[in-house]
Amino acid sequence: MTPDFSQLLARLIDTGFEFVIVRGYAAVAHGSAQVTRDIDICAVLTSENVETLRKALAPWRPKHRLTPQRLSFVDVPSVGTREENLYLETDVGVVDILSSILGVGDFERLKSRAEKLEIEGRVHWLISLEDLIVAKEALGREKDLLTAKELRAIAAKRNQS
Amino acid sequence: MTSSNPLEIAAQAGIDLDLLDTNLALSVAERWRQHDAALAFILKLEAAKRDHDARLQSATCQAH
Repeated sequence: MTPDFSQLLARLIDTGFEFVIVRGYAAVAHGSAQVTRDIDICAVLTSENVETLRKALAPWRPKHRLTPQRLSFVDVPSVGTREENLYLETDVGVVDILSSILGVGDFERLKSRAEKLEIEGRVHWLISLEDLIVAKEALGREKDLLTAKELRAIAAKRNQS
Repeated sequence: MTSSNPLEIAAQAGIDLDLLDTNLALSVAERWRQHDAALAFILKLEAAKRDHDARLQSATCQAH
């Protein structure tokens, strides 16, 4: 599997799936020097949105990466099901879709404070630096706390300029 | 006394502040491009290491 996160994001945006980019890839966007192996997004996973997501990802053989049998997302969950979180691996990378972010809140809360970025003609919504710091500190793991320190330094540098 | 300056705290934690300056001078698209290239390289290195270890193990088994 060769990750291609930009292609993945472009496909999701082009299909009209609404989401906010969060966690590691958002940290990179804000200037973090860390490397992440997956993309995390926050979205409302209504049954309609799950179907939109399924159609968008289908060409890349999406599978539920936390199931021992690697169940196909094309078949599971059944149509009409609402989900809280989805943890998927695809031919273009791992993507986790979360309904809410610990310490911050749900999609609506995140989107209301998110940064709007236009990249190659596509609008991307990025979790705000302040919310990302709160989220990283709420996770409390050593690696997240280190990223939070890095993000606080980025915030200080932003304020200086 | 512990510092409350985020830049000092980050530096003490081992974060390279010059690297942050380099990143902040880039656009978001450029940051993602550089990140993705770094990740692709890491994955290639890991694959090469796996292949190397497998060959080494195979050669060791044949020698015995």
